[in-house]
Amino acid sequence: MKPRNLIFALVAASLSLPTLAAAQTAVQPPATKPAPPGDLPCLLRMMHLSVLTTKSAADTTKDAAFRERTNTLAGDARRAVYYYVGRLGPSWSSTDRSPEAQVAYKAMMEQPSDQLAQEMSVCMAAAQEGEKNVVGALTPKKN
Amino acid sequence: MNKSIFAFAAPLLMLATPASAQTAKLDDLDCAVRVMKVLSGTINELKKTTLTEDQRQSSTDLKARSDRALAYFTGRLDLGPKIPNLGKEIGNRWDTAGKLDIETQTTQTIQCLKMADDNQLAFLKSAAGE
Repeated sequence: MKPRNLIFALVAASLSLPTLAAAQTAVQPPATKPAPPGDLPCLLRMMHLSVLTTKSAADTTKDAAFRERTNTLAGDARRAVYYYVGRLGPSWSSTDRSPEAQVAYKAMMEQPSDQLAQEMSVCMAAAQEGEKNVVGALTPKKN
Repeated sequence: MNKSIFAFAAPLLMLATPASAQTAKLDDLDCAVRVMKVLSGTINELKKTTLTEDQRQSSTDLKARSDRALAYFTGRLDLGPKIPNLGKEIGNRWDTAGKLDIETQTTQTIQCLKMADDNQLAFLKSAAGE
């Protein structure tokens, strides 16, 4: 299962919407690459995904292969959380941001599940692309 | 002592002890380089088939923590001002870090790992209004 479809499946399952099997084929890649919704919305989406995947990876009623995939995705989500915390930076967190965070969280939870899954996927891809660019430059070149 | 062991042995030992009260002035690129060094070390370490279960778990935990910290510093660097001659600058930082004694490298790396974790915690507190 592709990460995009796995994300959708987890979001759908968490909301008790379509069955997992139906959800796995529901998301198609968009024709044009959508922009991430922003650092704070992406951070919240990655935190939410981290919770969903961690919970799913611990679910012993699921088969081992599914749990392994969700466990890998959980690691990716946790890394993406740190990436977006880095982008927001220490100054963002230096004051009480709870009103802003609550509004963003509420908006996220009110989204249709397919849109939320889509945005999670976009946020994940943006984090991985950003990491790839910097880590590529950080890797020492051998003479 | 061979400095090549730094990447996995020293941090694993030091992570069990409180970090030094003294902190070095390290910027995001310094920390990204140090965390990258540890991450490389743990990846190599985990390839070994001779590790005990405890050693494997310790290296796995450190790899995960380094991985997250590297993501934090890449986020900082990704958004921050572009560094001129980044490749050359990274090479310089990498060489400079490699010339430090093992204890200093270890202490500084712990400082960087802690910085990433502390900022994640600060975000959670700020977002929760604590």
